Amino acid sequence: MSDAGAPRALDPALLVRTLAHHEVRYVLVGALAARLDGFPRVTADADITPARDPENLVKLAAALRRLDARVFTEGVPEGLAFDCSATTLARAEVWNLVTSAGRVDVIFAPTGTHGYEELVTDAVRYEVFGVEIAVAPLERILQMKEAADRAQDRQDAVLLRAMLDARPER
Amino acid sequence: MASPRQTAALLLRARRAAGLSQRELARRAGTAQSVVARIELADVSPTWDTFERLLLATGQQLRANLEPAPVVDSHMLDDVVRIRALTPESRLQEVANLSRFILGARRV
Repeated sequence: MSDAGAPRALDPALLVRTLAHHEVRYVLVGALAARLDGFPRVTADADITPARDPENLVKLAAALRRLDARVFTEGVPEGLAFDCSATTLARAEVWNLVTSAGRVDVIFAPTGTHGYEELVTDAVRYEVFGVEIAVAPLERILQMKEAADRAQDRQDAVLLRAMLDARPER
Repeated sequence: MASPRQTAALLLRARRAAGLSQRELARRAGTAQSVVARIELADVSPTWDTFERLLLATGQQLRANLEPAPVVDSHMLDDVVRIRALTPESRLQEVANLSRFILGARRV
């Protein structure tokens, strides 16, 4: 990381622009995705679900290197250096990273889903910061929260259900 | 108890971790494979006894705890309306601004 020891604030603009510059195919999931539909809980990280094909992993690895990605671990704010290559990324289902755009979790198959190919089918398209991104809709995010079922997920799920119930018909 | 989706996810996770087929799990728990399948598809919500028996057959146990029920305060939903009135960029920018503020704050 260029400023070792200093955790970076979440910078959605830098993240989505860098991913777009490298033509990474992904769906934005989690609380940041829900934020685009009004979710009020503020999150400390961005969750993305990229396509797992080798070509996309090469692009993802390049984007993450550009963002100085390191592996997040408790007690080491600057993260741990790792070999950020397509081969390495393919070896795990989840990567919890610290980057120059803040905390980024790369989750290939969010709980309750089969990953990018499934999520992209009903992703909502937004144009933000000059780039177009695919974003999981609230229904999908609720599905993931219900399947993950941790304390924070349960709280989020109640809020997401209330949002869906209150949402005007589209 | 939990919702059908939650019990489905839990049973599937436990069964896969144990490396069991639905048929083998059903045999160990003394039930039918179709019962396991319907629970995992979230078609039905099992009774506590059935669910506990199935989980035990995977080598897991069900433990219940009390925790405060999640609630949605009205101000949270009010904030949804406010956030939706912003541009998509502004919705994300608010998160970024707060993240910077929190990281920049130092207790004195």
